[in-house]
Amino acid sequence: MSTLTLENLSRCFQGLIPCALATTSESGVPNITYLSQILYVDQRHVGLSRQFFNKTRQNLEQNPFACIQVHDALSYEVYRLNVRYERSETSGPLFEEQAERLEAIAAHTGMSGVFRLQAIDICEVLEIEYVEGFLLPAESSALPAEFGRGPLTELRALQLVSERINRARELDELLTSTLAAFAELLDLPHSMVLLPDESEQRLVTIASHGYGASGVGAEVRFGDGLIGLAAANRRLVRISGLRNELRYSLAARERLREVEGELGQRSEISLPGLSHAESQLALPLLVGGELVGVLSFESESGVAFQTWHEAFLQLLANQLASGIVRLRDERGPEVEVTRIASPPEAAPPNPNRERRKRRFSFYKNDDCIFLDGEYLVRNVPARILWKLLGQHVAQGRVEFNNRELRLDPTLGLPPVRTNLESRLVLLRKRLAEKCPDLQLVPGERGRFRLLAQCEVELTEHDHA
Amino acid sequence: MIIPSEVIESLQGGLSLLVASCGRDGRPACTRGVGLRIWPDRQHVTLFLAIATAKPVSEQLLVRPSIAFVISRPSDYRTVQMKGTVVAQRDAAESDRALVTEYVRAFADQVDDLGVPRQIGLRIAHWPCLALDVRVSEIFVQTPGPGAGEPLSGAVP
Repeated sequence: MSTLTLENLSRCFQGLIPCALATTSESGVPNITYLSQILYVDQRHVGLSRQFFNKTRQNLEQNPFACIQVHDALSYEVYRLNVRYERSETSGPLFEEQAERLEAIAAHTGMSGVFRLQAIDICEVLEIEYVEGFLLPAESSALPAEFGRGPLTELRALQLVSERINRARELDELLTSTLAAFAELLDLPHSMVLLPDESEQRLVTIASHGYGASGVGAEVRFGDGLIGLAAANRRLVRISGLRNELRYSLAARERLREVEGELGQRSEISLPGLSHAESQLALPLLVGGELVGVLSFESESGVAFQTWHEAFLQLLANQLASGIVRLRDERGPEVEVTRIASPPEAAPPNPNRERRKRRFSFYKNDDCIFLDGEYLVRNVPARILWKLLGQHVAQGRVEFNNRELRLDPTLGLPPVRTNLESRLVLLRKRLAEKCPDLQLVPGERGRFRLLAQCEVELTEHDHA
Repeated sequence: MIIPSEVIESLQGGLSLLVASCGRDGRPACTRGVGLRIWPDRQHVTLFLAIATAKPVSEQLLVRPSIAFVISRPSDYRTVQMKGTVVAQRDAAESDRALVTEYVRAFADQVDDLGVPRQIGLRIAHWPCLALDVRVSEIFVQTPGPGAGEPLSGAVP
């Protein structure tokens, strides 16, 4: 074996650039195919993710020697790996992880259950050869700055993010400041946090950073896409080379259409967030075995998330999860909260200006509220808002407190772990986006005010 | 085997080309191709390999002329694999240079859209070249998905 090692080639295993795999039959007829990704298994082994390639499989059974050509995802240099097929794995951690990854890709292209991992073919690496002269010399060989950071920088960032998590006194502050810290300190500018709703089958976006529209309130079902998979399996899911994988999956889908006609009722789920995401990382937020949310990152760089990110960000995710548990339920009335920032004060109503009329419609069958014909919020946050608005309109009430909400059986809050604060955060943010002239302003000791600078009209419907 | 016209038409411009061979010891080798010309008889092609990187493959082909190559459109993974026999191996002529240069330029344009900077694509070593004249004997659909690896149906033998 040459001095090159598989560890040196970690950037070749990102799935950013397809690999070539050459095998031969027993009689010496070569065969060559593309592989969307090759997997690092250990210091001496790689894994071939097998979904379709049948001839390769036949050849490896007849003649175990193969040649793989891989590209460095950053420098684009080429390496040849001479390998020997050892075995196929159809279960175990490596298989499960890759199957999840493919399922996440498949979900994005409406190919769930079709674009399925059959096995991972494990190969021993006999020789690694750097293909000298593949690229003509570059004018500058400087690598992007993202590989220039040192461990001390990361440790410092870890400390700072950790401090922000610990310092937060409210759920909204915790999430907002933590996501901002990921952007400022760790160069991870696109992130979001989703929390499970009361059905425990759906996640609701409660905070995001780095997206034009906040997406607060957007829902993801458990098992759907990368984020849904992280929630369903309670495991970190990372995908690099997303565009490459999506093209591969879309090619397979088109091929399926050609062979089998239309795909029936399968619906394509759009990628959330960045339109040109190349990498995505979703981490389950777990405390004592309970899923309290999912933290998701996206990047337009295919090499944004290295293996070490998984361990590093999981540390922060654990802290964030504990912070969410600490703050997601209402603040007890005995706790005196000192606000870090002043609450947004609503401007006093201008008596000379005609107040805008806002029409809120509650649809009982869907358990949701529409505002002026546009979807606003559903489930518990919708019931809370309906209660508040009802009392505001009927009695002119503006002062409320968390305790009365927690004790109201009509809202459907669970007796323990009410997640009331997270519901109020979601509600406040949805109102800020869709109805800024109606605000829920948090106060002290679990109180909050409903400030309406608009005329509120309420209508209740059994059906849409 | 006659290369069907629909294959020729569907794989135009900016294609990725990978070539494989098999050594006397039964071990395969592979390399990237930098040019492809289909002969008017549609039974032969000439593949161009950069001398800088072709050595393992070209040496094996001198011993065992059996060759496989995949042609793929990077934007949508439309792929076919052809197999055949190398009937001649020679240095590419100066008159081939324009074809090879254009092939690499078109490939660089294609992959630029997919996130690999164009200037990287243009840095792929492509001259001087070896020219391999190949008699094609088999064609396979290799677009990922069901049926990948099956012989191209409807091809005229």
